[in-house]
Amino acid sequence: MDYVLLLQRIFDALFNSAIYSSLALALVIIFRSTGLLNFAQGEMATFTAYIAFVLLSGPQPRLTGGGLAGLIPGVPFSIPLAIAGAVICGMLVGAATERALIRPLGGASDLALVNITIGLLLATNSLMAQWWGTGPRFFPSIFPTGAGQHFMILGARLRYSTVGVWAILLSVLVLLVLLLRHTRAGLAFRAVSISPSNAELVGVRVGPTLMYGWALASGFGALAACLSANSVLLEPSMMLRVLVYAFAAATLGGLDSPKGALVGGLIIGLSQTLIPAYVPFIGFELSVLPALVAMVVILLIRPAGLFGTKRIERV
Amino acid sequence: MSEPLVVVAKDSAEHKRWKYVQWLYLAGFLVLAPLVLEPFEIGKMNRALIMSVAILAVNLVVGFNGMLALGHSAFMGIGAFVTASMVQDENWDYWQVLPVVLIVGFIMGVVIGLPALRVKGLYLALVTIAQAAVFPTLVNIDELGIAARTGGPNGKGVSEEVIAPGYLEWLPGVDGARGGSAYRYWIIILMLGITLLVITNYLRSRPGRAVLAIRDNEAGAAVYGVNLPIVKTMNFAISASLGSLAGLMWCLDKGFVAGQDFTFLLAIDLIIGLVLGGVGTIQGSIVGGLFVVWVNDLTKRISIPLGLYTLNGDGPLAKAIFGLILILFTFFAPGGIVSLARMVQSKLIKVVPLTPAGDPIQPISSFDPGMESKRADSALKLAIVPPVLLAVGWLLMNVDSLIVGVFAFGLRMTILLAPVAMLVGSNELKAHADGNRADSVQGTANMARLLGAAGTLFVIVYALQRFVVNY
Repeated sequence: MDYVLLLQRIFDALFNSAIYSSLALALVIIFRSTGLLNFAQGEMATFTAYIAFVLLSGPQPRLTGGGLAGLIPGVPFSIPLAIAGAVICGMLVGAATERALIRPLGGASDLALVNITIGLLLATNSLMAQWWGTGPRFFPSIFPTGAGQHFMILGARLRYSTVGVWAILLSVLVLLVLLLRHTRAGLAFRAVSISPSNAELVGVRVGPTLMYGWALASGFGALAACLSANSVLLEPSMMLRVLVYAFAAATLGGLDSPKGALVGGLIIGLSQTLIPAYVPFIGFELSVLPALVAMVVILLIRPAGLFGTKRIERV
Repeated sequence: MSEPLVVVAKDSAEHKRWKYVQWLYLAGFLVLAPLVLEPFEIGKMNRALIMSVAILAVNLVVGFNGMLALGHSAFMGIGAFVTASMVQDENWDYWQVLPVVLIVGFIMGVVIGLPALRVKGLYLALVTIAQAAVFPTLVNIDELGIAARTGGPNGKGVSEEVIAPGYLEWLPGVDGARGGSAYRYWIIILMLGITLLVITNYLRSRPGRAVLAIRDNEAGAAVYGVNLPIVKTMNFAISASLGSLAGLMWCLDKGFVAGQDFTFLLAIDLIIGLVLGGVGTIQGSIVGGLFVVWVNDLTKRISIPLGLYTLNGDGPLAKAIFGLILILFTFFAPGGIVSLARMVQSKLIKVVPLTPAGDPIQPISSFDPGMESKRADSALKLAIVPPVLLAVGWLLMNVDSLIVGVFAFGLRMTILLAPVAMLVGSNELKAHADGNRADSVQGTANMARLLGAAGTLFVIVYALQRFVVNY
């Protein structure tokens, strides 16, 4: 067995793992607070990546589908600034979605909530295709991605971009933990996610807290989309596939555990690269299979996922 | 019109007459469809009816058992590929494949349902969506001869044409230019009819009631002795079997199957149809199937110039409209089109149920408004408005715009309400003869009856004329 090649494959897989983890984290944040899976998470993230793209390229009528070019600031933004803009935009979109579409439904059935997010998925996806076209677009990377831009570790190349993505993911995660553990808003958020009715009784304003949760999640999604847009090329459906993996990652780790999302993303990313490489009858086009099989198996053994809390049913 | 116009006891002669009229309308539509529609439109109709069967399959799990399973596109795919492979490679007939497809679908349902139904709610949605997402790639596996059977990425065509045998050429529409698709239309109608019969009876049976009980209260059902895993898995397997049947019909109708036809997007289409039609109703599945296909078709023809650029429904916009419709329905009509239709129906007729002894639980006469009756006025309105709308619809037809065209079609369809006006008018006259109405009612009721009769006559003559011209 070629250990350098194995190491190389692991390093390559790490990049995707980070993307899956961050989108899975977005799903987990929303699931924890509202008990809802946001099927439109990927499309909302893609939308913000397009926003970043428009910010980057400045006013070009070709990109904006005409008419609205005047609304976009005149100066092309630098990449970090554009991504920051996209994240802020994503947070606004997330908060608006919660306020306009989710909260009015109240405690509706699971099916109704799934319908809303699926409707949002379809609408966002096709409106993006309508506005920006379906052709893939080149999205610059925030990290150097040239030929020599990597560390050499034991003969395998670890790209700067992989290290960078993980650095961003981990630092954002640290910020998130600090926010949840050490601020009043974080305390309120944790209280609401454990029991909305009790939180309300002790004076937490549930509605706005949930809105912040959605904003936070969509910000995460935006970050994931902007970081991955360079490698998968920017197009309206780019996050659809990523979303399936992120679902698998979140389920694997436990839908209500941020730690689980991180580990789940890692497992899915690694298995997606390693299993097709070492198991002969699974080709790369089937790379989605092991991830999903892993998800189903985990659900059967531990329906709550690796790190999730067990649900207890009261009659 | 807050009070219903007609109150009848269940199974009384008048109720039966009412039902006959409904059946007559249904039969009229079924017979006229292959005669009046263009060949490609019959193809659309076939596709819609196939979707109806698939949506009924989803409904069986989601609507009647309360399990959020969203991956039925995969079962459709399995059915379609088994059919294509057996018919093309093994030279079987379609009717020979039918039991095989049903059994394979059932087994797949057990295999997937047994583990999947251990998880609940959104977790189940996730597992089944994974199933839908992975299916299109599964048909491309080279191992085990799968790709050879399914045709891999190229898809598989069935060279055998479905042509009506000589003794069936009397069926409406089968003879002539639209013969092939019209014949398939009748096959699909037959299969759909049998499916509806079987499923309705299944839901009324002991296991069917157990399925409904699980939806309404799982713990309660378990306490009453329902074996949850068995009932759930069997129901899921029956639904999977039905999904495979829809796949068989798909293959029969299109003569070509490919993995790309059975993606996650098809699963989403099924969900949309389910919600638009009405979750947990049999009629809703049918309406949903028709709606998904025809609305998709209509949006594709939209073209609205908006200053600098034209909004074309041909491109990605169709999906946006679907997304919007899905959200709007979830908010404003969670019961779907069926619940809207029932709302209209409840304004027209109330059926009073019977006691076990066979009498109405409340005397029909107690619903009679007596001397102050406004029913004749309502009936007259109901007799006048549809012909006017019909005329307006006819005029609008000349406007060359899709949206106006659909609108005009809707306006023209209101003429189908004419018999109601006639019925109410004659009821009022009868009540007057019995001395229950003021004399002033007489003129209005007569008028309503006359106009209603004219409208009814028009519907009948028009339908007959279309039938004769095209047959």
